[in-house]
Amino acid sequence: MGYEMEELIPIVAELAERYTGYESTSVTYEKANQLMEAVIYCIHEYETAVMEKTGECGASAEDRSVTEIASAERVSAKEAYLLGSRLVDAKVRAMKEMYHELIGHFHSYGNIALKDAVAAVPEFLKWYDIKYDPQNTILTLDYPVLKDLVEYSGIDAVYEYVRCICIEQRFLGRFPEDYVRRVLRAYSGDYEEMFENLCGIVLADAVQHILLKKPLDGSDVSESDRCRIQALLGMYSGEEAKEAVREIMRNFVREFYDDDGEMQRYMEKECGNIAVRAGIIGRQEV
Amino acid sequence: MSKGNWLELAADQAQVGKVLEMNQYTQKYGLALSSEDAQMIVAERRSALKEQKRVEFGQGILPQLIYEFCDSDYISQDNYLETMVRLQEIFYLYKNETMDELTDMELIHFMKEQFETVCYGDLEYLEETCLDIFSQAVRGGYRGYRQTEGRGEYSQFDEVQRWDPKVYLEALKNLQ
Repeated sequence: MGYEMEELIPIVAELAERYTGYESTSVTYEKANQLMEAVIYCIHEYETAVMEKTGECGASAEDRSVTEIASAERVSAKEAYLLGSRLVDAKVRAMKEMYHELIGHFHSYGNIALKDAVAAVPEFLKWYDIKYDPQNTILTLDYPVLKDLVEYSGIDAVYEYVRCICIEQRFLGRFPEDYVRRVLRAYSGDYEEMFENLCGIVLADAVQHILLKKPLDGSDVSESDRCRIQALLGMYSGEEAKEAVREIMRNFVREFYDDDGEMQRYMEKECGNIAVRAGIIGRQEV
Repeated sequence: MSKGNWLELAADQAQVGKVLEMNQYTQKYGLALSSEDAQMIVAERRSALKEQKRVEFGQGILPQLIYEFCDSDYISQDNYLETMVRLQEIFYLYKNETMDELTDMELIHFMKEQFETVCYGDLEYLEETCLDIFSQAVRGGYRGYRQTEGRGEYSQFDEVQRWDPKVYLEALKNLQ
């Protein structure tokens, strides 16, 4: 962040006054820290937006340091905070809209973790404090999505989480519900109770069927099928096998999901895991 | 960004001028703080805040404490400085003990009223009895002070039988 503490303290002081309703001149360290984090969070939101905007306008964001961007677009800490607050507010509204679209056609396929995770989002909206605690994620986000959200917090984390679930629902939604349930049941007899990513399991099944040139009719992958997959991917090195799986996924998305770039990017990393789970890379590289 | 010692930076904001400005008002009660006194009271403020793990913004509570207490029957120029130092310590302690439920003014009103009446200027009694009992009630969910701004609150929690004029008059009658 390109701002000094001295610039942030007056913003925190003002926020503390508003927090106490102008009726208390002091707050606890804990509360003061929370308010400072709120200010830093909003400024970070603004800086990220500036960085993304700059990235879109030509040179990639990676080529330019945050400092360069901040000095090019230099605004005062107070302005950055206020603009960031507005971005946080806009993101909450965008997440709300995304969520409403999601629940219109949402399927948990009987998985409790996924059902509970989606059901908890309104609680986030109910308790999220944009002004005084925007960095608080509130939810535990127990259902594991394929994207690592460890660097996110507050609305950023929940926005990304809902976005991931939307992508997964788009992916799973193209399969008949019975098919998805059959694949999940084949993966685990009590899949309803498990805390694993459903999309990754169905994608792995699809990739395996494509490798075997078997129709996607919900038929199980037998032990001999697995041996065939191992033999097929075994012809490649670890990285090549991962890339082969990625290519299958890309073609699949291209054909059945109108070349959905967001979906492709989301599932890229999982392709490596699928190759590992197929037992090929594990055997070769361990 | 390193959080550094920003809390201390905030707490270090100069207060001395504001405390000295209060002399204009307190002089009519025969009270005044010298520049050295003001510096000392501000230094004590800093350590009290640190001890109570609190951070203060803006002009702080000192001018308000001085304004409320300067007309006290129990404060003279002789004990003015030390009383204000103790009062601000007690104030921050009980902001915490009441879990920030009371506004500054509600707490100050309560403190001033007890200091003048129940405590007769005894700071120890104010801290260890009156405020202790009251803060327990606040922590237990009592919110009646919101209607009274902290005034006239203590009698309902007082555990000691206080002066009763009716009993006194009856006793006087009996003596006659």
